[in-house]
Amino acid sequence: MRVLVIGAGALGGLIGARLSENGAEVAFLEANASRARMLNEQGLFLSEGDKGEHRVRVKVVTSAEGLEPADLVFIAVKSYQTAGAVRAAGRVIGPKTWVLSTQNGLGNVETIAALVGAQRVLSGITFHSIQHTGPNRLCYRMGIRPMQMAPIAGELTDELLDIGRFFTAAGLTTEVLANVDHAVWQKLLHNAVVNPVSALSGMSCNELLEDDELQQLMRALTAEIVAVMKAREVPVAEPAEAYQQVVGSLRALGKNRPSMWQDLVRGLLTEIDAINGGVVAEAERLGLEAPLNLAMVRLVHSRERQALRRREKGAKTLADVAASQAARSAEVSPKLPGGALRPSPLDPKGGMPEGRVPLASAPKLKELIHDYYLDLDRAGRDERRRVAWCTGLGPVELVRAMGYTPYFPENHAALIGAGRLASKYLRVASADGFSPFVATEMTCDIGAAIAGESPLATIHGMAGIPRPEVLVYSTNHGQYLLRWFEYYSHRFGVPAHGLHPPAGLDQLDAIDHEASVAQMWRLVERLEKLTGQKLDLDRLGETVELSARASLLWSSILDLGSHLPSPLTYFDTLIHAAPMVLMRGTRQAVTYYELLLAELEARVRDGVAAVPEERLRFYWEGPPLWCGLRRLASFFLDHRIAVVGSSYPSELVLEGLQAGDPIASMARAYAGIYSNRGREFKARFLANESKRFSADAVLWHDARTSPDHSNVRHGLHHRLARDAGVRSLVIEADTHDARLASFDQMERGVLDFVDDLRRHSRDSQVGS
Amino acid sequence: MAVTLPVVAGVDAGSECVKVAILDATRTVIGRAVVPASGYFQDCIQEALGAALDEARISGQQLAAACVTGFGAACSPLKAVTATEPACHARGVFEHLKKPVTVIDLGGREPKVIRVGPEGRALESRHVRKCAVGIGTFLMFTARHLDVHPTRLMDLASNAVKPAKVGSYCSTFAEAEVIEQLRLGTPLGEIALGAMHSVAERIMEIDGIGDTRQQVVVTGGVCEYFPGVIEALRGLGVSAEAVPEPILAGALGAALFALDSTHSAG
Repeated sequence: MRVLVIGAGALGGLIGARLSENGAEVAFLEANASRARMLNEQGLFLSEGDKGEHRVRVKVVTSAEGLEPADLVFIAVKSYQTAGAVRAAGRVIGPKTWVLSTQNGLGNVETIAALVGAQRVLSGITFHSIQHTGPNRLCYRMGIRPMQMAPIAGELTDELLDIGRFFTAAGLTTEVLANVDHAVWQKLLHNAVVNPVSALSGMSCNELLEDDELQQLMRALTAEIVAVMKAREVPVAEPAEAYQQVVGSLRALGKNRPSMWQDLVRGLLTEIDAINGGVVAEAERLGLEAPLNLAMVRLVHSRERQALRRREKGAKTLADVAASQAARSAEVSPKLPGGALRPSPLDPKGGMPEGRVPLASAPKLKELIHDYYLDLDRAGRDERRRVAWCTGLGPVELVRAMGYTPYFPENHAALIGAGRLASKYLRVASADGFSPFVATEMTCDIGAAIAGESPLATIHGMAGIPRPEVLVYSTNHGQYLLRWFEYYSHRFGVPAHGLHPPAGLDQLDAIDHEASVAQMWRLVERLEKLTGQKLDLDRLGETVELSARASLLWSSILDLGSHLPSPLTYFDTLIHAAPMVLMRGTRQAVTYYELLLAELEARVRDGVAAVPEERLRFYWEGPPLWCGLRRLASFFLDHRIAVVGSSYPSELVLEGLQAGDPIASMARAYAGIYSNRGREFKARFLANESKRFSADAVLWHDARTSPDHSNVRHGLHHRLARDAGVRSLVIEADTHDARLASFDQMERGVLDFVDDLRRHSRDSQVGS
Repeated sequence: MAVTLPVVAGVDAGSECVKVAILDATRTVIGRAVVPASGYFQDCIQEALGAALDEARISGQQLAAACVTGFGAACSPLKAVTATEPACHARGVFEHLKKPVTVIDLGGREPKVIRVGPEGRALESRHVRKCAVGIGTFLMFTARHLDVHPTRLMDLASNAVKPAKVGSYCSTFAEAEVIEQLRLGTPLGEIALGAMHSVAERIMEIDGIGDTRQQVVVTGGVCEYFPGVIEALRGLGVSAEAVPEPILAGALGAALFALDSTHSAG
């Protein structure tokens, strides 16, 4: 049997893969070229429930041109894309081709029949539950009832029964009937009651069952649809019993949410017109009214329009920022620093990497960071303000709530590294007795301090880095942070207070957690003594709430790297992580990430790729290679390799922060970051991440002076290869010291590896 | 001798030597050359190519295609395709053995372990850690300090009963150890043998070499000039054999890729 599946999404993927495994000649038509590329090269991974996954080789085309007419065309697109999909099939739909739709709602088969003639159209219905667990990974549960299909005009023939038997043999139990109209309406009843109510309220199926008022609404919707069904002479139970059936399926769906909710959250169009809109149209045809269904349609449309308006507003904000920046840079020449701090001469080849497809949010980010450093500069000169130096993953919410303005040496070090200034300051630190093999992140910062120079003077015109009143650290990100802060404690004659959470954790057990909480309270006490003020727990709660919100947004942003094509790269995340470090716990960070998320989601919708024509995706493990960031970013772009994720920016996703329980939730979140975890946790995390991002390989950075973050040193890559089949490439370099990195050797290594990968991918295709 | 057209060239521009193999349509090597790399790669490639063409008794105009690989591949003055080093070594070895093997390429800079698949393709390659690169260069250095021609380092070593201890990971520190042994008056043969043992030890530390179960075949200039390294590898439990003309394996593989390109072009 020759089959064309239009739309390689969840349902199309499952059905097509199963048919293909049963010997059908299956092709998928998929408009998204990156998705087509990945499916062709890597295949589709299927898993049924918790059972292990297996790979199915698939053939995916981006145009139906040149394909032979098929026996069956399976339409698996959203209902509003149906007409376009049928047209795209072109000559594949011949005079003997059956066109099957199991799409949601009403009107799809009519749309198809208008284009190909009713005689060739099959209407169907499925009950499978399918989730995407990665761009090319599906986890499914077979339907509680078999698939059903029927011709919309004409007789039940042996040919149709054969199609049903073929589906059944492929493990997709299917009944071929004379008419599926009744079943379609039964499913519609469920979808029309549950989907809009869940999507509009944001509640999961479980939560809906606990909300009395929404239950009343769903009961009324059921009654309205049952009336239409009765008028249409669809056999249906009385409203009360029909509603009990809806409740039964809600229980079965548990904590799931229907896809309409996903669509609204993502700002996509929904299938509301085919579902509740279908009920309204049918009611009108029968001389009835369906006011509640109409209300659902209008409310959901309104939400769709809101998303559109948010997008337009975001675009306007970005355009305004770009215009004001252009005006400012034309007017003002950079102010020379007025203080003792000398500007670092910037290397023109240095600086943060730039993408080939610039993000419109980037100027806004620049403005925010500039404002942050200007404010810090003012704080340093204002007698009444207090400054604390803080580690990037330190308890900054507490620092803010105690009234301090925080400064982050790690961000300074990143600027020095990316600006290719490190070698100069590392020599200064060496001359001051630091070994070249201690964390160069620390020594380049210390070297710059000894030299009295900073890129902050060059970039932001800062007069000086304000002297701290206290240094606040956590060793969660590595013990070297303690050495770093001890140095400054001695240099400035100020106290360094901090957290030493238990390290190498798999799970955070009660004893470890209590220790972390006790350390938090000790820190509170010490800061209270220094400032002479009591901690305001409400203020801390507000700060923690803002951190939690920024963290959630940041998590959603990083998740988008799993889309095909990816709207952002690892290099983008390193740049845009700055507010998460510098402004965590402020409203500015939240507002910025809302803007960035909206822009990236628009990219996903419009298929805008951060790496045009990406052909491979890597996951980066280990610390950033700051000293070669720009060069590496363009190297990967030149070779169309998308580095789509990394454990490093994920550390800024702080889980479980709660305004109502700020101290304990901070203790838990900060002790639980990736760096502070044990090998088992890291192995599980990376196996999951590489699947989620569909990484062709993990690229491990073994950074010479950053042992705490170079997990490859303990053979974790072999473990991952064995347990999860993940391919690895190791590069040996350093975070900040370019003298420890050979770019030529590194790039040749990557290209050889890419060659291996492509050959491997070709071979396994030949072998299938 | 009759030459079957087309004739192609494979160039392996290594960091210590530039190698050229000229191949005719029957896949017979009809010309070869090895010249030491000094000065610009462009000039070395010209020189080696000229010598190989002379041996083959053909002119440059008669070359139908060329393929370049190796450290200096980017400097090729020829109009040529390129291929990676693992791909070429895998291909060159497969041409001799016609079966899947594991290849250890021992050249001037970075030793590599290459897994070769059933059709002669490099499936996977891993190289030595960054600090241990430059093994061929290290052996050349040793020969200079022991005051023998590189090709005679092996003769010296064959007289030694036990190897001198040269344990450093970094080639530069290993060089310092060689000089130290001279100061201690250690017999030259023992130092020569010690140097080769040290190289074998570095190779056994390559990430993933423990997975090696198949027969191991060695290629590259080190095997040609310093076969003691192969013996040392055997002493460490690896059943290593060299292919014929190991120094030419990469150039031969490159030439075969060049030959492919004439098929696909026609």
